[in-house]
Amino acid sequence: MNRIVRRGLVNLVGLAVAFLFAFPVYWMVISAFKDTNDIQTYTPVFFPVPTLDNFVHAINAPHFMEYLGNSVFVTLSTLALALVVGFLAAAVVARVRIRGRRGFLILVAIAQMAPFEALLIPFFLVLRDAGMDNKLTSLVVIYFIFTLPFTIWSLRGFIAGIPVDLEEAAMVDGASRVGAFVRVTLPLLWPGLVATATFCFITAWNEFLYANSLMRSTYTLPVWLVSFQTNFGTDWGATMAASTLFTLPVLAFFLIVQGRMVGGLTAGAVKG
Amino acid sequence: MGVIETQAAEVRRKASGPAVAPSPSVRMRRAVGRSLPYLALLPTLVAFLLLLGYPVLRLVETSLQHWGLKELFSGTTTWVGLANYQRILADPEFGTVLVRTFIFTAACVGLTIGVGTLVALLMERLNHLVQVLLSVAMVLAWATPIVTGVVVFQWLFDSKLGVVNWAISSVGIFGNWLNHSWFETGPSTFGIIVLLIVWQAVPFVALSLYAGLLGIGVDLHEAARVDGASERQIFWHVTLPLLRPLILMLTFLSIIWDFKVYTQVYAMRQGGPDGQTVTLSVYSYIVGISQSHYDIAAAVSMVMVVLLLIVLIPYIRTMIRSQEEA
Amino acid sequence: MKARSFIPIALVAMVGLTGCSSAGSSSAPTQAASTQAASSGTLTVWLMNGSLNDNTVVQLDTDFQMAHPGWKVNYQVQQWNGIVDKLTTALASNTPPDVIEMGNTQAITFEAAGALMDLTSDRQALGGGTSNSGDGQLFMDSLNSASVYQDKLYAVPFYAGDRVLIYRKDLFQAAGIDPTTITSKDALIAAAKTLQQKNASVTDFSGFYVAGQNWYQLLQYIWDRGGTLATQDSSGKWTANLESPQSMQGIQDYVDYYNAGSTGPKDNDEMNPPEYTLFSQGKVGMFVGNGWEIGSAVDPKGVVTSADQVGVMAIPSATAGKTVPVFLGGSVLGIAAKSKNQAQALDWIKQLTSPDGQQMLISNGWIPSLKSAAANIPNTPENAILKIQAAEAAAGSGFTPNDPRWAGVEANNPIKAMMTKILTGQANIADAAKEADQKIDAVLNAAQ
Repeated sequence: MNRIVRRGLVNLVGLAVAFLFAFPVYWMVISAFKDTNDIQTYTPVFFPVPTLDNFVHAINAPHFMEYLGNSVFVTLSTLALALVVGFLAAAVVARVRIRGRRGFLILVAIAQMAPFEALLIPFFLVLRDAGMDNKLTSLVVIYFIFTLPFTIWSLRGFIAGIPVDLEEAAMVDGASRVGAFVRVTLPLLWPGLVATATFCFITAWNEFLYANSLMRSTYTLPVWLVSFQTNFGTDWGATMAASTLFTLPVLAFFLIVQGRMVGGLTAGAVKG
Repeated sequence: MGVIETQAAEVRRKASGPAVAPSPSVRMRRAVGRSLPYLALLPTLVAFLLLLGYPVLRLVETSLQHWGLKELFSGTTTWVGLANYQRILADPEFGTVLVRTFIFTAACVGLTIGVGTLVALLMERLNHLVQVLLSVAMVLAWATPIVTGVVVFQWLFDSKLGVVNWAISSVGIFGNWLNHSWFETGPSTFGIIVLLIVWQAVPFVALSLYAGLLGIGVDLHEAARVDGASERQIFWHVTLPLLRPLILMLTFLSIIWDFKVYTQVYAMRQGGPDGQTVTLSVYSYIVGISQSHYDIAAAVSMVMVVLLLIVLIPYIRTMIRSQEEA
Repeated sequence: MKARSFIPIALVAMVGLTGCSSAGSSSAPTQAASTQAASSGTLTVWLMNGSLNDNTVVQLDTDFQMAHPGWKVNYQVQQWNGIVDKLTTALASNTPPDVIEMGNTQAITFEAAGALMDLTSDRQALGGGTSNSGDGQLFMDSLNSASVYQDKLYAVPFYAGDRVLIYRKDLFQAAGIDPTTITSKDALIAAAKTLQQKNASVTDFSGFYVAGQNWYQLLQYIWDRGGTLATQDSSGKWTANLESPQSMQGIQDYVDYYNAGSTGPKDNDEMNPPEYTLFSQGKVGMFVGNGWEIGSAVDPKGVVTSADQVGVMAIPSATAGKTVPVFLGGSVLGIAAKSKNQAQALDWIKQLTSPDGQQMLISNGWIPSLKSAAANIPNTPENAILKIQAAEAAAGSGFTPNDPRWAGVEANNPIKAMMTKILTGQANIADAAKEADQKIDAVLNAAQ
């Protein structure tokens, strides 16, 4: 009985924490369903009579589909590059003793510290002189560099956290080194991979400075997101609607990979 | 875990030592095998040393030159040595900003890791439905576009139209807060900024630590519980030591992010009230970028990297060691 | 978690520039645009979001293509957020846009850097007169000073806008106030108090809504009392003058207006919350707002549901019968120094300084760039507000210091901090003004 009460309490705390995280997002979403002049009122309105005008306005903004396509291309390319390259490096530094490993890790740490806002002009000059500015592929390369240090650190941490003796056991059973890694460690790595991939996805998906400054003929969605703010007033309703739509792909991505995560975990647990 | 890995590596290394002279093809394969790890690191090395390294060198160069908008268009620059650095260090405001940035970073990192750990532990104990709800709530917070997040927080904490003051006043027992200004003093404004940053930073930390907990596995906890350990003992003596490498890594990343964070801090009040929320990155914007003084901005960012290195090099060593030697 | 997006939310406001301009009047022609016209090509034109409506753009494109067979116009709308970074990289690229629009304070930065084509020899052809200053100067003064750097013309004035007093006609009627009597500070404050009494049932109602940090509005009162923001001596040294007796009197006016019952936040500006939103919700009797805010102040689902409820008048001075000098914001157009289509770009811009072009600007609700056109806005019902705005500007206007370093002041605005300190009683006017002056001096006189 006592245990049931405690479990109930713990779940209540869980719900309360979920509420705290969700509330500002909730406020963004209901603002998107309000008339622009009703967003800020003296008495807060928690359940407005919803209007879809803001969403219609946001989607009908010029170039929405074009920018959406660009964003998907840039984000998924960044994700693929960062995860593949980062995973290779992380697996090596976590599992293989090679000369120069520490030096390599320190290099990754320094790369993590790179000041990206200040690097805008140097990056621009290099790309301009190479004739590579105003190209989506250049954005991919830059976002890849942004996210790679993090990806390596993060994946290395997760790989190192999985006891190597599981692999050893598989190798005794006749599996090759790589085979053991793929069959034993990889499934256990899924949860860490989900967190890392979500991070890369959000970073590339949300980036504004480089997308706005390096591109001239076409853009990604963050530029669409600010298009409702002008010097002649801001359409907050449309901004909030656009922000709401903007977060949905991230959520979808997370739910898809998380679904895999649960599957992966069960499989890993059985083997472990 | 560290011990296991090290021992296993030892075993592997000994086992791979040559007992008899191998045939050429075996030797060949072994050579390929030995260079394989380096090949795997190659793309990363190219990315960092070439693609990132060259622009970084240009940035270092910029910090040693007179380099503004005029130089961008004329293409000719003059070397000024350390003048840009001297100018920053001679600024009486710089010291204040520096100390403020350290305190701000410590507050953000401490809260992010602390709350993140608690939420991860909580996740483990929730039933499936609540767990999914909490994950979704966190991912939504995490995914909220930064500038939108800032605007929503400004609205929530608005002195007259904000939900927070309305809610506090409605409860009744705290009196009337309807005109309370959260942005009137520096510490209070920082409080809101820290809250915003922690709100968006905890999801990643909590989900990562939760992933780490799943890696540890339930059986270990069960074993400890069978041995008669209390929940608290299990946390301090089993869970925490196993999570330590992961926590070290997340703290390391958080320090770097929060030390450099710009958008949230500037967008909230443009460094106000009265410059009291100017951190190093905001300072770099105000004295550098906003006036197209790329040289000053470059120097500030170099100082920031050096400060981070000084603070973090010992930390990086600990972090590497924590997984190699136990 | 922290995607490194970098969006300076405080946009560099569109503002004018100081009236001080160098005395020289010679317009020595330097290298002009290559005049030999290529037979075909594409002209890239960047205008800011909200500058011109679609019909005008289509009209301009059609006219241009008629005059330039074989040419196409690639018209792109740019966003205000991050525009300075964007213009910087775009103008420095090898394929820059040909025509760009810049806010007044942004322009000086690019002019000083050599990013823009020298248009001095085309001044007359553009309709701007024979001289960069004095009687030969035909553009609106604030726009002209934003376009001239070291006595050379680097940009072409585009359009201007200023603030007016926006009020609730229906509430005035109900309270028995005749709007034509609001011709002085005292009358304005009296009307504000009357409105508050008559609307006491509306919670948080302001007779005259003043935000705590509307520094544009504050500057107008400072100029009204004969004060200045900052002046530059012949050696180039700036001196901020907020602590001068005249400026302090203007600050006192602002405080008096605020204390007449404004519910505006002491720690925030006119856009947080947007004043026109509060107006549409019925919480405001009068406020000082931009011309474009009138449209947003009417909301079919709010309290102010019809434009008939909204009245507009010139902002009264402290001196009875006069109006305050207004803060004249606006935009200018430039041609990229690296543009390969400079002759065509110039022709495109000329469309806007022609009589037809000036009419297009008027129909878009802007004060046109030529003084002559601004003085002769046709007397139609649609132009009623614009005529008030143009009259205010003609009576007197002011600007922020014409210096690239001014952007550094606005990046962490000490005037806003000063206003909050005074309104909350943390400091008296003299101390707060002195402190703000010191901060402004430090930024404006920093080594460049």
